[in-house]
Amino acid sequence: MTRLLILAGLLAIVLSLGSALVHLVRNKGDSDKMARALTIRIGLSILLFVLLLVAWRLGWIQPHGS
Amino acid sequence: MAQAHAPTSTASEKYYVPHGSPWPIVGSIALFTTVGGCALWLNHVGAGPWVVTLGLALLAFMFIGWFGTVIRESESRLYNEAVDRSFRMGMMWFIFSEVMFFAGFFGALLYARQFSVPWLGGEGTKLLTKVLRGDSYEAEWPTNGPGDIGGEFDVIPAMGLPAINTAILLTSGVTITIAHHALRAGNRRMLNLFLAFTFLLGFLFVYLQATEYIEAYTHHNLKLSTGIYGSTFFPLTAFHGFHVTIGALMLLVIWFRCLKGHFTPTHHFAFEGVAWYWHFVDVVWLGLFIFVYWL
Repeated sequence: MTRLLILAGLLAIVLSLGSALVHLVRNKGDSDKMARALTIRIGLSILLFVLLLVAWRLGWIQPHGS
Repeated sequence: MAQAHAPTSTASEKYYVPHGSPWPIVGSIALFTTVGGCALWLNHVGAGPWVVTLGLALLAFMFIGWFGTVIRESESRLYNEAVDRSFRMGMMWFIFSEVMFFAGFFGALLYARQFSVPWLGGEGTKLLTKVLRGDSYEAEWPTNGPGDIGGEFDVIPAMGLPAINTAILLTSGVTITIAHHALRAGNRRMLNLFLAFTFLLGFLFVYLQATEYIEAYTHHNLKLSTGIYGSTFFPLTAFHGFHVTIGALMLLVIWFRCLKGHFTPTHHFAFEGVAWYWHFVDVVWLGLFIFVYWL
């Protein structure tokens, strides 16, 4: 379950990054939407990192070699 | 690294094409020298490393000179909307090649972990492989594979330097986002300050990764030659580190341009391109952190 959540989070991050790229390379670009997508991207990334730390702390997931 | 401005009444009519630019031929000579030097080096010719160094120095000279020319052309308002579209298309193809590059390395890691290592352990339909080899290798991850190539090793603990480096890159993702919004709001002081934080955090990341490698080699016996684990771990993380270095250098150039007053709240494609690239290397690291150290 934790792994699925982590993978879903990573997918959402990749999608927001991809969305920002589309707005960047589109004719003339769309600066507003690109900045918004990148803000969502970093917000989701921080959430995912926190989720990983919490899951590790609660013993739901262990890193390699531990 | 160019910034396409709104077209002027005269410039918008035609696509700007520079005449007599020396940079394409300088770049060709630089690449030929670099690759030729590599060939000499691989054939144990003493001059090889020196020729490679000369080639790389020429390459750096070409990049500095060519990007400098493009920046001057941009600031001289020589570019129109068609040139702006060209830059955006160029960015798209550059990123496409980058995605394919990392897909290859992540793909190698996935193939090793999900297919080849379990097969060597006799899983699935590959039991005969194990029987014919006649050893007692059991599939696991991390592993240096059958034969214990490179000897006993430990992995780098995820909650040590890798977690700190993740926090550093994520913080730099926040600072570049603040700088981006500051540029759009016309707040130059915030822009310059947070852009500086971003590339400084990038260089700190690279420094800590070098420290991690020294730790791996000296205390964990984890080397490039440590079987399949070492030969996927180092290329993945090192190529990412190389991209962080390039990204931090690009941010440094953009920072100098910001200090000189380049870019406006509405026209700043070079900034946007580099900012997106920085977010990209941040996301690649997040993927690395999760797949290499955790899952």
